[in-house]
Amino acid sequence: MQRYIIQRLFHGIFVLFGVSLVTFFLIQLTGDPAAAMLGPDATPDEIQELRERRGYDDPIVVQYVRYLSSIARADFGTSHLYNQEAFSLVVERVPATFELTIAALVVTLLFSVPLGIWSAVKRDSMIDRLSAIFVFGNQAMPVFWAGILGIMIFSIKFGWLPASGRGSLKHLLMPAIVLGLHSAAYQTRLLRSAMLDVLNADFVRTARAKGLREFVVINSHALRNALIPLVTATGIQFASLMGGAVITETVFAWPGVGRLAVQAINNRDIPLVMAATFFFALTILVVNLLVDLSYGLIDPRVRVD
Amino acid sequence: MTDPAVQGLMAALTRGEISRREFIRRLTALGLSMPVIAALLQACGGDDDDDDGGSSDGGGDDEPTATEAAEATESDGGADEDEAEEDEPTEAAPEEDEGDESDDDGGASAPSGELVVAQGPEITSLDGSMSTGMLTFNVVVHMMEPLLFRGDDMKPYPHLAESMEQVDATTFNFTIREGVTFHNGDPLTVDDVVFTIQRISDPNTESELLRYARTVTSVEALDERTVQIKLSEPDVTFPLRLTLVPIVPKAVVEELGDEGFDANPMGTGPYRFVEWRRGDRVIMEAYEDYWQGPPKIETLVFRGIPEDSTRIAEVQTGGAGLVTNVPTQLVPEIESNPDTQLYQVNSLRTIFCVLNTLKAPFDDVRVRQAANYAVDKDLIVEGILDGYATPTSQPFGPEVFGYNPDLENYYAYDPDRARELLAEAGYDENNRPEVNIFSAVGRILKDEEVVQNIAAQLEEVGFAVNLNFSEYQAYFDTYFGTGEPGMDLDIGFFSNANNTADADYNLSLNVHSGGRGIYWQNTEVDELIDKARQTEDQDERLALYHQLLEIMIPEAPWLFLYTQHDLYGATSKLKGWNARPDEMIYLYPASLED
Repeated sequence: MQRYIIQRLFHGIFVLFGVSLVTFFLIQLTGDPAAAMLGPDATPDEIQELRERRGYDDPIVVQYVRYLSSIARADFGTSHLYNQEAFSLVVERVPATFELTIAALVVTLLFSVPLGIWSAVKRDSMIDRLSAIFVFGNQAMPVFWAGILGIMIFSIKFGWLPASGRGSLKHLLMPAIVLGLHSAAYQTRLLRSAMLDVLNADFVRTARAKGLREFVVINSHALRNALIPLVTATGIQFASLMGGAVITETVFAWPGVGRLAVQAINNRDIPLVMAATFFFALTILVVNLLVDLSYGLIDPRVRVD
Repeated sequence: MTDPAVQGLMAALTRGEISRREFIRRLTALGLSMPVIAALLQACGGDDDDDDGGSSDGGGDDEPTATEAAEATESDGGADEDEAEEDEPTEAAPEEDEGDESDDDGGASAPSGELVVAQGPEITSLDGSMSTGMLTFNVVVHMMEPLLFRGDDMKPYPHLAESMEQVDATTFNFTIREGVTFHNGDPLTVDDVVFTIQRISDPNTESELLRYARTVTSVEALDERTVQIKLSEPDVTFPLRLTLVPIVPKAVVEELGDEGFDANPMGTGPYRFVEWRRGDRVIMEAYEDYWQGPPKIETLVFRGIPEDSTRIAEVQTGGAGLVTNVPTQLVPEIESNPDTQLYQVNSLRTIFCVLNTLKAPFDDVRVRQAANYAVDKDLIVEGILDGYATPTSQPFGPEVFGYNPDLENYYAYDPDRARELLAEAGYDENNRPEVNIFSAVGRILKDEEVVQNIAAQLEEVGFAVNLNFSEYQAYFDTYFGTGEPGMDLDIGFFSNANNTADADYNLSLNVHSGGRGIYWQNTEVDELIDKARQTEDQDERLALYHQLLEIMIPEAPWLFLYTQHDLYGATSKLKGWNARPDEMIYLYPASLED
C-alpha cells in the first residue's frame, strides 16, 4: 500500500513537470511578457528595463531552467501584478476555492445520487423523464449564463440572496448551486446507467430471489456495485468543478484561485500563472490518488498490497 | 424598406426636420441593423450630410448633446479658474467648496452610513507608491494623498503641499501643509515627501510610478517645511503627474517593509484602513482627525466585480452604492429604477485608428484623408454606442488641455469627398486600395462591432478591407511590434486614456517618434511636443498645441473617431459626488441622504 502511494507520488512529479513545461512555453507564445505587464502606456525604455530586470530577454530554455531551479527551492517568484510572493497569493485564496468546490460537490451528490438511483429503478417512469429533462436542461445551460440568470431571479427579482462576494452561507448558496447543478446533470446520467447495468446483473436477481426487501437489494447489492464508476466520475468531476469555478468565481466575484488565475493570465503575470497552474495540477493529482485509493474501500477485489 | 415608420423618418430627414443622429437613433430603436441604416442614410442623399452633421452638433435636438451633458456635470464641481493662475496653484481645491455646501444641511453630525463601491477588476496593491492604475488610485487616494490634488476641472490644486513655487525651468519648491497627521497621529513632515519621491524613483522598488518621476534628478528638504525637486529637463507637466503620487509615511514603510505596508497601508487621507480581504473587498473608515474635517460617510468599501451584469445587479439590489462602467444596454435598468441614478461624463479616453503611413496605400495623405471622410462617426456613436460617446476629429477630447475648438468638426462625414480623394490618388473600382484592419476583441467597448462598421464604411467609398481580430495581447504585439512597428497592419484600432488631462500625455505616447507603435513621423510635430513640454506660460503652450494640431489633423495620421463616455450607476441616496472625466472616484465630499 505504502509502496503504491510512493510510486504514485513519484509519477506525480513527472505530471507536475509536464504541466509546468506546457504552461511555461504556452504563455511565452502569447507575446512579450514585459510589454504585457506594463501595458500600452509604457515607453520602450521601461519595457526594456523590465525585460532585463526579470531576465525575459534570455533564451526561453534558459528562463525555463532558471524557473525549474527556483521551483526546486520552493520559490515561485514575485507576482508582478501584486508585488507579493506568487505562491502565498495562491495559498491565501485556496480556502475560498475549496469552499466553493466542495459545496458544489455536495450539491452535485445531493441531487445526482437520489435522482440517478430513482430514475434507474423506476426506469421510463415520470420520474425518469423529469430527471432527463432536468439533466439536459442543466447541461445545455452554460455555467456562466445560469449564474447570471440566478442573480436576476434570486437577487434582483426576489432579493433573497446577495448577487456576489464571499462571506456568509447566503453568499455561498447561489454559486454552489449553479456550479453543482451543472455537474449533477452528468453525474445523474452516469449513475443511472451504472445502476441499470447492475440491476440486470445475476446477483441482483439472486438477491431478489432470496426474498430480500427491495430497499436492501438496491442499497446493499446494486448501489455498492455501481459506486466505482460514480467515485471515478466524482474525482473527474472535482477537477471539472475547479475548472468551472474559474468561471463561477468571475461571475459571482468569488475571491478564489480561479479568478486570480484569470487575472494573472490577462496580465501575463508569469510567476502567478505558474503558481496557480501548479496548485490546480497538484490538487487534481491528489484527488485522483484519493479516488484510486478509495476503490479498495469500495471493492475488496481491487485492494492493493 | 416599405415600413411606413422608416419611410416617415427618411422623409423627415430629407426635409431636415430631424438630425442624422436622431434618425440613426430612431432606426436603431426600430431594431434595424447597422448596414441597413447605413444604406438608408445613403438613400437619403449624401449632399446635406455636412449641414445635418453641423446642426446636430449645434444642439437642434430636444435633449442636450452628450458633450453638453458632460459639461453640465463637470461645472458643478470645478469652476473655470483663470488660466493665468494655473502654474502657481494657490486656491483651494473645488472639493472644499462642495464640502461647505453640504455642511449646511449636515451640520457637525458625525460620519454615518456605509458606501460600497464596485469597480471591475480587483485591487492589486494598497501601497500608494506601487500601481499607476486609476482603479488602485481610487482606493488609495482616500487613505493617502498627493502633494497636489487634481480638481474636477482637471487642474492641479494645493493639497498636502500648501503651495508650489517654480523656481526655474527645472526646479520646483513645495511648502508642506502644517497640521496634517497620518492615521497613527504622527505629523506629516518633509522627510515623508522626500522618502516617497525617492522610493518611487528607485528602480529596485519596481514601482509603476517610476514613470511619473523619470525626470527627477534630486529631491531634498530645504528646511522644516520646504521640499525642492529638481528635474533633468524642463517639464511643465510634472505638477500634473504629482497629483498621482500619494505621500506615504516614511517611518511606517521602513518599519513594515514593502509587503507589510501593502497589507497595512496608512496615509493622511480622510479614511483609515481597516481590512483588505484580498480578491474580495477593501474596508476603510472615516478618519476623525482629517485635516479638512472628517468625511460624511463613515465606512467605505471597495469591491472588484469583473462581470458587468453582476456589478449592475449589486447596485440594483442595494448591495453596492456606486458601480463603474455600466454597459450601455443596462442603462435603462438604472434609469428606470427610482432607487438608482445614472452618472454620465465624457471621459479622457480617446478611441482612434492609427493609419500606417510607412507604406502604401496610407503613405499618400489623400488616402488617409479619404478614410477620415469615409467614416460616419455619428452612425457609430448613435447606432452602436447608444449615444454614449462624442465624435472628435482630434487626438483627444475637449476636456484635455490642448484641444483646438477651431478644428472641432474637421472631418465631417463626406463620402463623396472621400471618393474624390481616392480618385485623385489614382484608385478606382478596379484598383481598390487594399488595407488590413487589426483590432483586439473585448478590450474597448464594443470594439468588434465598431471595427466591422468602420470596415463596411471604408468599403463603401472604395477601399478593400481585410478584418483581423485577435486576443488583445496578441494584438498589442502586432500593433507595437517587437522593435519595428508591425508592417502587416494598415489600420490599428486603439484607445488611449489620458492620465494627466494634458495633450502632452497622448502626444508623447502615441505621436512623438520616441513612443511605441508610431506609424507616422513628423519632425515639426516632434519639436512642438518637446517645446510645449518646456513652455511655462500656459497660453503660449496652448498656442503650441493648437499649432501642432493644425499640422497634424490635415495630415491625417489617424482615423479620428470619438471619445468614450463613462457611465456610473449609483444609489439615489448618494449626494455630493460627480463623475469625473479622468475615471477618478473621490468620495470625501460625498454623503448618503434619504
